[in-house]
Amino acid sequence: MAAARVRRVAGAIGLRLGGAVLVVWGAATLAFLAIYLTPGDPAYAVVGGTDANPSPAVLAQIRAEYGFDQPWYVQYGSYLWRLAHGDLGTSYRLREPVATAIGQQLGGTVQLALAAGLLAVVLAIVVALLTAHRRPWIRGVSSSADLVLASMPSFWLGILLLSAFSYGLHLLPAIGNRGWQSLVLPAVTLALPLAAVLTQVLRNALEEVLEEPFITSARARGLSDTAVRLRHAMRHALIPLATMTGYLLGGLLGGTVVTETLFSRQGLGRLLLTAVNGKDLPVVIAIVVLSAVVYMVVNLAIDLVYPLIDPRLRRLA
Amino acid sequence: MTRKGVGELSGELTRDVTDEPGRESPDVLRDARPILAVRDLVVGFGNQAEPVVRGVSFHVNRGEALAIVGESGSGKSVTARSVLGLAGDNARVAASELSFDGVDLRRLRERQWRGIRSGRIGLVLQDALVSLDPFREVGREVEEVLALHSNARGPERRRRAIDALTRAGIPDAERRARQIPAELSGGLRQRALIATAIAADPELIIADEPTTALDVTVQAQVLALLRGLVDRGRSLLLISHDLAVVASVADRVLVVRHGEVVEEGDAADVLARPRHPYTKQLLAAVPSAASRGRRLSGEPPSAYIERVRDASHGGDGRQLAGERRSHDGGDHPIVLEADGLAKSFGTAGGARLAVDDVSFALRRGETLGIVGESGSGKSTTARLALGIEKPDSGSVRLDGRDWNELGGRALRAARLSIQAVHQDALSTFDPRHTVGAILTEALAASGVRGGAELRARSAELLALVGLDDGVLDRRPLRMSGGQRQRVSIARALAPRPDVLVCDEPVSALDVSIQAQVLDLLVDVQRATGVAYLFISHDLGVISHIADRVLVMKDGRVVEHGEVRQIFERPEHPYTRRLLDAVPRLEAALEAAPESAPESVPESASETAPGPELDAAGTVEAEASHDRLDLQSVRR
Repeated sequence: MAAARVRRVAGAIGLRLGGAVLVVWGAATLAFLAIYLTPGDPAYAVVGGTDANPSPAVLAQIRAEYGFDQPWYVQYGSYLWRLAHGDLGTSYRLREPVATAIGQQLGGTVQLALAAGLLAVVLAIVVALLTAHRRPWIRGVSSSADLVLASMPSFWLGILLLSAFSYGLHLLPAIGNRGWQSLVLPAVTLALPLAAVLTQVLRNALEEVLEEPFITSARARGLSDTAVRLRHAMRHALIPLATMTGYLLGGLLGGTVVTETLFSRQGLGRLLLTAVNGKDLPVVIAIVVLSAVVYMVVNLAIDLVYPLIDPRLRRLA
Repeated sequence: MTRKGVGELSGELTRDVTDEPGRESPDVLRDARPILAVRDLVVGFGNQAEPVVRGVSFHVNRGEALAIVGESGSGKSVTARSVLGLAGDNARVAASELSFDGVDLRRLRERQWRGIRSGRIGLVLQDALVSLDPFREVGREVEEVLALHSNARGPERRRRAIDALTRAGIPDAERRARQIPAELSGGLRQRALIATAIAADPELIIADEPTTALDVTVQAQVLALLRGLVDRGRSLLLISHDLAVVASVADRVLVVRHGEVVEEGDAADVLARPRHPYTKQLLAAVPSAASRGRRLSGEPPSAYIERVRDASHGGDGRQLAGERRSHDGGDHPIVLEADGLAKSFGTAGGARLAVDDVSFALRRGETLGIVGESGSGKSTTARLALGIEKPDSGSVRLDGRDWNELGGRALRAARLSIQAVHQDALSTFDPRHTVGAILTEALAASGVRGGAELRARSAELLALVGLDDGVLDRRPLRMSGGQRQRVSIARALAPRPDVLVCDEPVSALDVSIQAQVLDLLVDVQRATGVAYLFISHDLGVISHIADRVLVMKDGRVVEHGEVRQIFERPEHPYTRRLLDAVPRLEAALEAAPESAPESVPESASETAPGPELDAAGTVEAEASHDRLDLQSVRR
């Protein structure tokens, strides 16, 4: 019985990992094609962009060295081969291994993403618990705020926060990576739109659960409204919240591009931006592959969380 | 209010009280004041001008079971919930009196309500699968009550939770306490829900349709459990749409309609000698062996049906329902025949035989009933007959042709001659379709396309099911349950089928609507000669409408034959058990003389005999040869 269950869970995870490999391969291929098909000579990228004025001999030497003179399928094949062996290649611009470049920038971005993710989830839980199934005007105010925040461009939100808290009140630093203070504004900028979406999802889920007969049963037991929400309704509403959180966190890297640029923070988002501008193919592909991997891992983790929330999934499966 | 030690004390009391066998023991009975008194209760919702409950007054005496009977929309559930302050966020509740044991419930603050709920008034809702938190172990649900209403903590609280589960009739409660509702059978689940209501030993239990989702045998056990609580001195407010359930449990009855009380009195008396026309109508609408051949709704067949019947002079259809008992087969051709059907489904624990060696033959103009409890294989048999599932072995022949050998065009043509009517009509309609679109689609499938013929056939189908042309532009979502089922029957009749498979077609309907639909089915059969394969868990419905019956258990047919013979002289122990478990009105009538209430001042004036209804008379005559009495349900 137990052995059979372990086998089943292991099988499910194996299947997901197989799927993950396929997704990473697809992401790598798309990134390769996108860069390969955009006009411009990658050899220029190596020598320092379009401003540089290298001799034809130098360009030819670079093309031979990096394999740019090979047909696309040879370039693609050798690229996949190296990727499969964990070799992300060397950056054209930075002249260092891509892994090293990413390693240096990873910390700042992880910090920012985790802070923003955590803040968004906590905000969503608090606001949804407080506003779900309340008087119409409370709901109205909250859901309008959600709508505005979710649809506001994040650079605009960032600028508003900067002018208020940094330039206006001088409470927080505007730019940089120094200390927790410098993390606050970027994290809030990144978190607010996420929190808005999560609040919508969670509030709808809570309102649906609060109409269920077992909630009436719980109230008839003499539970207070707060206890009913926390002990009974919340757990049910966590399922859609987890789904949405996985989806949003997986895609958080894209959000960091704007935020990091706006606040001049070091991080993967900025690295990606400069790499795209400079046609720095190895870096771009590596970051795209990395974000695909993160997406897969986050969602696999979320799938493993469901049975912890809903006992029917582990007891009746 | 300090409830310190009260929990402990009442726990002790309970055990004392539970050990007492008789009804007159607890001292609560000495108190003549009613435990619950409600006067002029009015409940409205939101901005609606019309209140749902319009001036309802009643009381529940100590140690008494009062039932509020009514159909959906009568306001009975809202009334019950108002007593717990749980009518809803946007409810407006007003009453000139709403008191529980001398406490004015109208003046309670939220905090005080919480002490009353489950501490002194317990609530049992219907269908514990959704009325218990599906994510939590049932033991923890019971513990939650004890955490709020007693001082027991830790292992002591656990012990008392298990004790409550045991008192609610759950065997092996220690193990069951660790299970979630989905791991329990319907009966155990309902008992776990009752355990949450009685854990803190409240004086009053409110049970809102507590047995509606249960099989008859389980229903009988749950009703006996509730009655047992009353017999030990607790008070019960039972909400039900089912008169037979009420008859087996309640001391007094309150009949409500459109938010108003229409009749009140001693249960046996009201059910035996109803005085209000609505009560009479309700009682006459209950299908049973005694109602065969009689119109349940009291309404005559539609003019259209009369015309068709006069035209065909019954030669094409069947004889009158009352005379059809002598049906001995042979006179009409067999339209549907099943031979040795078997079907199994794979589950985690291996294959399970859902249907095992089932055979039957259905003749033109005949009704074959299939009864059995949930999981007995009734619905799988229906799906095999419809050709939706393929049998593992055995065969289904429709008009002599084997489903298995049909393919392509022949298969599609065969599908037209057997149609289905389901329990939940609404979910079988495309929500965007109007009734006109639904009928057009069904008629198009049988080759009627456009023009005058389509309009004529649509009108004919509507007339057949007793709807007027006005409904063509309406959507089923905006129609009543009875009208939806009529539309669903009209759609099924569109291709002029030989067989209708009716899978619990009236189970979701109120008794008076059920009566109309059953009458309609009888009319349609007489007018068209269609044969019914009629599946129901309700033995009353089957004995009213079916000519012959199959009794199914665990996928097998345990008994089959003429419906009268089976229900009057059942041979298989399972059939006997099923029949014994059915709560009956007749039981109340037999008990009528002996169960006079001890102290019911108000209803005393209402016991004057009223004019008797012939329907009740029929019921009474039937009671004389019925073996089941109230005692067997109360045990």
